[in-house]
Amino acid sequence: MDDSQLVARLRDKDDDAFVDLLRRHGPKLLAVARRLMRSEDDARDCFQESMLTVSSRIADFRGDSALSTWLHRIVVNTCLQKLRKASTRSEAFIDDLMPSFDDRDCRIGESSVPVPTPQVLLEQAETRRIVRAAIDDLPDAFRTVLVLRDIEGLSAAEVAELLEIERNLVNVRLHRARAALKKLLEPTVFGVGEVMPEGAAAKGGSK
Amino acid sequence: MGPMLTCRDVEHFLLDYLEGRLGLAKRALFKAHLLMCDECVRYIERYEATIALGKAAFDDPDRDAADEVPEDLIDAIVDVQRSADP
Repeated sequence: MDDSQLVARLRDKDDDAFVDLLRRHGPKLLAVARRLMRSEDDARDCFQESMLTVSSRIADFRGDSALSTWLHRIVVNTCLQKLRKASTRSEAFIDDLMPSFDDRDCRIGESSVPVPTPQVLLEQAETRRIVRAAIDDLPDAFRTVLVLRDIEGLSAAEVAELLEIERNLVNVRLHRARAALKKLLEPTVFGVGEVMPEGAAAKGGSK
Repeated sequence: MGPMLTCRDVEHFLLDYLEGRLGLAKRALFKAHLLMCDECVRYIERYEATIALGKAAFDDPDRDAADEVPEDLIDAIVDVQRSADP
């Protein structure tokens, strides 16, 4: 049975069709909710709410995109609504993680320690967990853009539309989110200490 | 002296550079800066590694199994759906 048959059965209010939908498409969609939300409970709530929305709005699905795309969009929208309502870490947190420049606009504080390839870094068992935790540390406005662009693979235009912001702002937030994430990963994953301007003690540490 | 880019400029244009949106002239200036600035080269290496790590962070073979929808969740959703839509 393909998706078009599934949609037809859903429209006919076939009871089993809804369960089939949950089993067939559920795993990927639950994974999306888990990536966007910070807690398992929130992810499950959003997944549940999304699936109920799907059930009540199946008549709106016109088949001009793939069913999976439509479902994905509903889950993302539901999660974003929930995130908007939640309190968020202040954006000052991001400012503290941005790169530093001296008064000649030269970059300072960047360690000259060679950078291992991602493949090598990912061989460490803890790396993925540390990266996920660091992503969770970012303020929602930045975390959401990073997750939607880099992890969910949406285009800047799609993210701009979903978040109702200018495309330019999507790009600015993405860049800052990545720069902040890099900084958060330096003491742990990249194994570099913070190189402070002279006079300040080094924090964090390469041990 | 020509309009050499500063490190701060490199930061400003980095996303455009990586996504291929810089014009030829600016791209050349950007590359010229990297030839002379180890700090920016290292920064961009770590920045690009960060992007790759972010993408890979959720590709965990052990987690994939955990993404099966739990039976209790399926039951809960179906119950609500059936009561809402008799």
